[in-house]
Amino acid sequence: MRCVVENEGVRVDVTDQWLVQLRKGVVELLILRLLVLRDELHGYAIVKELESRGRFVAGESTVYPVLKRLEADGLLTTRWVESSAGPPRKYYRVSGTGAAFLAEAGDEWDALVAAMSALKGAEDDE
Amino acid sequence: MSDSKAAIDSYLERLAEQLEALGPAESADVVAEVREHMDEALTDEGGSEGRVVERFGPAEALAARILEERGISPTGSGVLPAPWVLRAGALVADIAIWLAVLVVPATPVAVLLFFMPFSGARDVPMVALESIALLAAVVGVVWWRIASWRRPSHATLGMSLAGLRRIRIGASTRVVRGRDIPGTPSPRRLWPAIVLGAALITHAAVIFSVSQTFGADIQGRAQSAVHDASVGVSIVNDLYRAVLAGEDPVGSLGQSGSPAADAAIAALATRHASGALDSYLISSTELGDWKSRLSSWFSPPNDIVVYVTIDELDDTPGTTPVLCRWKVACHTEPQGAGAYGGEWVIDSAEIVPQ
Repeated sequence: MRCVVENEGVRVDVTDQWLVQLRKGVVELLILRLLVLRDELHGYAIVKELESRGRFVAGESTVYPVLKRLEADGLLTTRWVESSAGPPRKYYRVSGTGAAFLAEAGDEWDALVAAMSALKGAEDDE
Repeated sequence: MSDSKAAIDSYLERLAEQLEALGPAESADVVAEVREHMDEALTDEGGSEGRVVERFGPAEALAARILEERGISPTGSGVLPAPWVLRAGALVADIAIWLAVLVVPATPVAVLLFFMPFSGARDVPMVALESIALLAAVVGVVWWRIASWRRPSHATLGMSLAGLRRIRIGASTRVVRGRDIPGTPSPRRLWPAIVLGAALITHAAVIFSVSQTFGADIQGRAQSAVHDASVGVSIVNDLYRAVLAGEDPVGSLGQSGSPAADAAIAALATRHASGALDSYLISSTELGDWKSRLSSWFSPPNDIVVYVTIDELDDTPGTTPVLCRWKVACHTEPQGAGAYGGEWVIDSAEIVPQ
């Protein structure tokens, strides 16, 4: 169920807005974690893997912009590999900097989840 | 090429246009990766190419997200605009080149327009047609150059010289320094420099030619003025000498210009006969209104008018001289080969009140 509010005559899907903001921050963690898990993937495979992991879908229009930023920031390394089946593929791998970032971000994420779980537990107790 | 394939190519083309701010290398990298993704999706999943394209969303929106992730907003913040000095320099260079492009074809028409009134071959419809053609050429070239200046992914010759290029950012464009966009190859400056040099030489030649023409024109006018004044003085002088010598004054002139001239000459003879004119002095000479060359393009040839003022002296002591102002005129007509000519006549005279 979506939460929709009306602001100055304009209907706004608050849930949708929140999801957009949440995905912006979380997709990069998902991509980094996925690449650590799979070692090396190309863009199409990253999108398919993320799509297969539940409803937190990150489609092409979300994944590629994030991939470009992670690459530009040096968190990912890339290489083009010739393919016998079609055009060359660009493969992504987590760099050393990316791994360090993922470790720090993972700790922050765990702390966030723990805080959220604690609050949820306290709410349930009351 | 199928319509669907054309849709993919069109999508990627629009995506590349929108990613200019990333530079050609990174933009090509993104486009190649998206193309590879679409090809693999078609092979792996089947379905229509249109559906594969749809999954990426509009090319403009995808490009905007990619640029935003790289710190470039749709309004262009994050991309340094070129310094105004470089932009102004590029514009000045372009204007110099545009004008040179216009001057070269315009010169024969301008020369024709300039000399036509003096050759006697003036043809107003032809002048009008040529003027319209010249104006249309000027407007067309200016419009084309302005359109080129505003077009993204385009560097004019001036912009190339200044190392600038115009890129698309979202719905707008911005002129940036090529070196600020990573991977942008250095602009080729040799040909633009040669073209600008040729344009400057053209302008120098035109300025020199125009200054020479005007200089010659001024000199010619001065010579004409001196000649006209001397002719006027000579005619009036001959008239007074004839009167004082008792000769037929009209005979000395050959012909008078009008009944008014005849009456003035007769009055002069009467003044001499009555003893009021014993001698004379040429007091002053002035040229009448002579239309400029510019106005003569569209009007008939003009009368040249010279006014000669004479002090008529009476030897009787205590008398004051009479001032008589003579109007001498020449109605000019074209005589071919750019020459004008006509017969000088005395037009009229008046006693100047003192």
